[in-house]
Amino acid sequence: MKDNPDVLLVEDDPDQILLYSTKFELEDLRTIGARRGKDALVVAKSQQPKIILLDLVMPDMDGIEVLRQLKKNKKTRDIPVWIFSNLTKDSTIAQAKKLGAKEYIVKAQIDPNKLVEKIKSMLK
Amino acid sequence: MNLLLSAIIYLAAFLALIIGILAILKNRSFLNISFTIFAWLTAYWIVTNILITLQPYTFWVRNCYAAGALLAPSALVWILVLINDRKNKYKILLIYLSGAIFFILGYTDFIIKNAEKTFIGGFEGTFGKGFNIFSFYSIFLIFWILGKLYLTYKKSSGILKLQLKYVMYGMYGFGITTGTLNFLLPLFGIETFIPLDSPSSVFFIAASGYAMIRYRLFDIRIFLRKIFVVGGALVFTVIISLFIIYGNLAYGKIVPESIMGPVALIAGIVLFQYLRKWFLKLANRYFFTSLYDPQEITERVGRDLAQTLELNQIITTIVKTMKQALGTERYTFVLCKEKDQQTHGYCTVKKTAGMKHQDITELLKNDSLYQFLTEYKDILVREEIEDLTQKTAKKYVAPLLICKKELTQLKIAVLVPIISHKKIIALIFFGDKLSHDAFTLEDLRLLRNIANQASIAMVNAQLYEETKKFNALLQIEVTKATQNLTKTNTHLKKLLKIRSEFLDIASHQLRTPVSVINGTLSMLRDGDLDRLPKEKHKEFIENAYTKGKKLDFIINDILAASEMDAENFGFVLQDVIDPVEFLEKVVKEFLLEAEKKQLKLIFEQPSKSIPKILTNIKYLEQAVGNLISNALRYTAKGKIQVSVKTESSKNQTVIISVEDTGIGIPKADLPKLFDKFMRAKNAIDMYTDGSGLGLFIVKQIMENHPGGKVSVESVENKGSIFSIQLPAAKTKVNGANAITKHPSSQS
Repeated sequence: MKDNPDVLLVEDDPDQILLYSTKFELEDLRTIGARRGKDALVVAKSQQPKIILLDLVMPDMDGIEVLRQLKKNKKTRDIPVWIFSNLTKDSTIAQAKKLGAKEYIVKAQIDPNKLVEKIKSMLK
Repeated sequence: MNLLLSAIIYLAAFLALIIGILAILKNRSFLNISFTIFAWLTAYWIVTNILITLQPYTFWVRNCYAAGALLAPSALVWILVLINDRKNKYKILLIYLSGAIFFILGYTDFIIKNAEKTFIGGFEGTFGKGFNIFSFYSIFLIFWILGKLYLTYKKSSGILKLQLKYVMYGMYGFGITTGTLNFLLPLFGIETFIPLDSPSSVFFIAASGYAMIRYRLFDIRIFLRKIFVVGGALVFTVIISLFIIYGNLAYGKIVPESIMGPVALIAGIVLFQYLRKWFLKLANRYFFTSLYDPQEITERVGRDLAQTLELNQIITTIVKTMKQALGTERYTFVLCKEKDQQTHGYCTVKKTAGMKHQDITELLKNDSLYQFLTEYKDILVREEIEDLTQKTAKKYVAPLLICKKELTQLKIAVLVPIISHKKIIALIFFGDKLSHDAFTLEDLRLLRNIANQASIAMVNAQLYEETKKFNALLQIEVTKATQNLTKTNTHLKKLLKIRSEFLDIASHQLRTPVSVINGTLSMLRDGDLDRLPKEKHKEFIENAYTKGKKLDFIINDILAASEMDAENFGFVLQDVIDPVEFLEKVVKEFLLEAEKKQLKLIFEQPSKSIPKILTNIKYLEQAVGNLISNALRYTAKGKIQVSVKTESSKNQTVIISVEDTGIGIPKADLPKLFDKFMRAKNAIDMYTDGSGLGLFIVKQIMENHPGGKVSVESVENKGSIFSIQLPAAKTKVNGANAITKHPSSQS
């Protein structure tokens, strides 16, 4: 279990990848990334991260679909998924929760260090 | 011989008596009373002709002549009343008085001195001194009667004429015979035929009876018919019953006598019912052809008309009833539109039988007839038209006479107008009665009655029809309005959904740069960045800066879109620019972004010179910039090519195109691509940091240029070509400051 990465960051915007992965690494969170939904499914299965931060607006396969696939698969079903998006529509939040997302975090409403705190408290 | 003679005389007397009774029973008008007086006096006189065989002869003969003295005056009075010549009451009184004087004188030796021998209807004896005076008096009255009858008959028309004709025949027969036998021949000493004078009054009785039966002189036909039917049936029943009883007796009592009575009675009752019907049929067919009960018919029509609101059914009911009552088969029902006074054009034949459509239409072309009826408001009887012309306005005389001619030709007897609110709403033409009888006053009264009821029913029907039509129209309008509402509602719902989706995306696109900028700043504040190598540090700052710029773009787009949404949006076309120069500059600004995405962005130099264009450079930059930025956003690999050309034929239109090798646009999304908040289906799924307003803004800007437009060609998964088209600027730029208005506002 100790070899498993702490966070799988599923995000297509390079600017944000840079921001969050740098912060996580600085805080000693072992982070892996996926820029597309399909990649995320593969990585989640093989690497078994402790938590998945999942963006919603992505090319090819959006976050909701990725979440659905993750919860369908035995190997990834139990990994906690946090939706990490700037979409704030109630219906989207409700849908994500219904599909099994543990948390729904709005990017603009959380500082990176607060996010790290939240992840760490969960990992304990 | 004597027996037969007295039987004839008694029968004639009895008939005269009965007719007199019937006349007075029916009606106590002076016409009927004067007739009754005449009829009874006749009956009495006839009887006195037999009574002269009694002793003392002289008295009974005088009695007979006294009675005879009353006959001519009473007949004259009745005739005068009948032809409506009773202006002078004293004349009538005087006539009766003169009769009374001779009646009294009849019992003296003034007319008859003595009678030695008598026989039925005559005597042998000596006339008095005054016999000649009496004779002349009687002959004078008789000629007065006959002359009056003849002259009036000549002048009269219609029913009166027909009635007078028969009364006249009777009078002639009776008067001439009586005068000849009683007065003329005795003057020459011939007295053999005197006995036949009194029975000759049968002429008059029969003629009056006939006139009454056929022409309803005294309105006693219903009563007469009843007597005929019941009496006839009763007589036949009794005869047949007696025949059965007699037959039974003659053939040795086949049926025991004790039960023969009841059998005959039952047979009689059964027979009576049957015979009564048969006699009724007989009576209706031959004697009382158009006999009906007006009250019953009026009630029935009222009942039938109350049960329907269908115009056609109402017409059928009216026509059927009138037809039955009048005993005529031929008719035409014409419906007249209320609108107009003059009009044949507005009349339509609704129902007809036995008449030609065309004839009626032709007849109705006589506008004067129509106008006359509108004023006259009553039933027009063909036989009375001549009388009418004497009373009516001069302008109607000629048209009415023409009309009569036409009606005679077409064998139309009456024209019944149905009137509502002083306007004719329908006309009914009826042909002559099958019996060829004239139309009686009672017929007309009934027709008038039915016409009044018909008028109400028809107006009701028309109102109902109009209400029905109005309701149907209303229903259509309501349905239409509902459909419009539903459509609008659906449209609004869709708009709301689009708006909500747009807000969702727009807020996402606004928050994304904010979250990166905030994140970077918070790391800077917390000293995180100091822990990073200098290279990385710089990259962070650069990122935040770029995101800030993007935020500005998005905000600008949203502002521009709401500005362009305003109704009075417009901008000044103030710049005349060289498109090539302009495009080179714009393309340069996007080179860095293209490079970042590893895309080729090329501006293709035109092969020939391009004319200048009149525009607002700030807005045109925005438009072209949006197209290039879209191309970059939706192209994963390949190139974006910007080009400019003029329309080949004339050098008047400049076309700027941006061609990419991107995801393209599905065909279904093309028509609405330039709408606000609209994104192609395949674009929604993509990560974009655009506002979703780019193409809407391009369209608004291009439409603000006179002759400007934007168009797109695209194949999904292959790429798109967006082209904007602008007219070349005129060499001398006068309109450089023209303000153009947004041509249409979108809601």
